[in-house]
Amino acid sequence: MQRARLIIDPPSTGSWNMAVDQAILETADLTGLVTLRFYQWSQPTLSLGYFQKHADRDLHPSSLSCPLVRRRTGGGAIVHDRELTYSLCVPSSNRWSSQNEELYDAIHKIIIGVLEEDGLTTALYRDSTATANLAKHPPGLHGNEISPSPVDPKAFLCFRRRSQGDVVFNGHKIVGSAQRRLKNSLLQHGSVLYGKSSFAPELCGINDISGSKYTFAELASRLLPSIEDYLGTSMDRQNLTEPENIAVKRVQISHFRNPKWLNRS
Amino acid sequence: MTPEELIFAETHEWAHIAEQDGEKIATIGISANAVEALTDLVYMDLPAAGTAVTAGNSFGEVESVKATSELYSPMNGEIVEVNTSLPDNLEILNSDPYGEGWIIKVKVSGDTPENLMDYAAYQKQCDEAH
Repeated sequence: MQRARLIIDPPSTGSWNMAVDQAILETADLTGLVTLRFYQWSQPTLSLGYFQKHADRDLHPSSLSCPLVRRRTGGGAIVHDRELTYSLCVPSSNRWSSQNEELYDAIHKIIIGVLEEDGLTTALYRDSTATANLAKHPPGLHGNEISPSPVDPKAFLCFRRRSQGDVVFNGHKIVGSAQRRLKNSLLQHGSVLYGKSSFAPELCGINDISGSKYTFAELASRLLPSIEDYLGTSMDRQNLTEPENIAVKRVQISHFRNPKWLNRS
Repeated sequence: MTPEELIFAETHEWAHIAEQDGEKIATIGISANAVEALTDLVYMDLPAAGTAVTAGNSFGEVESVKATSELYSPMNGEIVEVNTSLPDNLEILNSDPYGEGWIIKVKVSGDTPENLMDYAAYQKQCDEAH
C-alpha cells in the first residue's frame, strides 16, 4: 500500500499556503508520500494564476484590498475566502502521477458524490446541455434562484471561466482545480467554493445556491474517506517534516513573498 | 522533420542535432504525445537567447487549461535561438510539433546525454505509461 498522509493546516497566509504546496511537491520523490492537504486562509486572499499579469488585478476592484499571492499553477485568479482549499501531491512512485487527467476528474467526481449524498445535483462541466450546467434548479432542490454571472473564457477570475472537468451547480462553477507537473511528481490543488465572498460578490458558493450550511470542517471530513477509498490507502494526520519546513521557508523567500515573482507582468 | 529523425527525452522533449559552422546545434521541441497530454495550451514562457541550459533541468514552462508543466532541456549548452513567435501561436504545436513548433536551438557542449531515446524507444515508453 502506498504511504499517504493528511495535513490539515490552520488558516495561513497566501505565501505560506502556496509555499507548502510547492515544498511538498519538490520533496515528494524524497518522502515517497502521497499527501492530501486541506487548508484555509488567514484572511481573504487573491491568488493570481502563474501567467496572469499583476496589473490585471486592477480589473477586479472588489478584491483590491486583499493580500496577493501568485500560484505555481495556471488559470485565473481566485479570491480565497469562504472555501475549502485542497491539495493532493503524488510522487513518481505512485501510479496516479502519470494518470493526471484521470486524477483531475476523479477528485471532482468525489466532490460531486459527496454533494449528491445530500441531494445536490452537480456535474462535471462537459457541454452546455448537462443538467447541472444550467441555471435552473432540479426538482426538489431547495434554494435561491440565483443566475450565474456570465461565463467568460478570458475572465480574470477562475470561477467565471469554464473548462472541461470543472464542477458546476445550476450553472455556477463551484470547484476549480489546477495541476503542476514536474518530471514525474504531480500536484493538484483546487478550491471548493461553499460561500459567497464580499470580495468576489459576483460568485456564488454551494450554500448560496442550495441553502446548505457547509463549512470547511464538514467538507474536509466528508471528502477524506472518499479520497482514501479512491486512492486505495488510508491517511494518517501528520505535520510537515523538518526538511519540508526548511523548503517552505526557502520557496517563500524565492517566490511567494518575492516582489519580482508577485509583480510579474 | 519526422519523429524518426529525432531523439527523445523521458520528459517528452525531442532534439535534432545538426552541424552548423563547426558547432553542434540542437533544435529542441516537445513531442506530439506531450502536446496531446497537455490538451489546450494557453501560455508558454521561454528564456532568452544566451541562456545556459543543463540536460534534465527546466528551461521554460507551458500552461494548459488544467496544468502548468516544465520544459526540460535534453542537452547541455547555450540557447542561440528562441522561437519567439511560438507563445503567440501555440496551435502550431498541435499542427507541426516536429517542425514549425520547435522551441529553442542550443549550441551543444559536451557529448549527447546517453539517456536520450530513439523514436521507437520513446513510443514504447509512452505506450507503457497508458
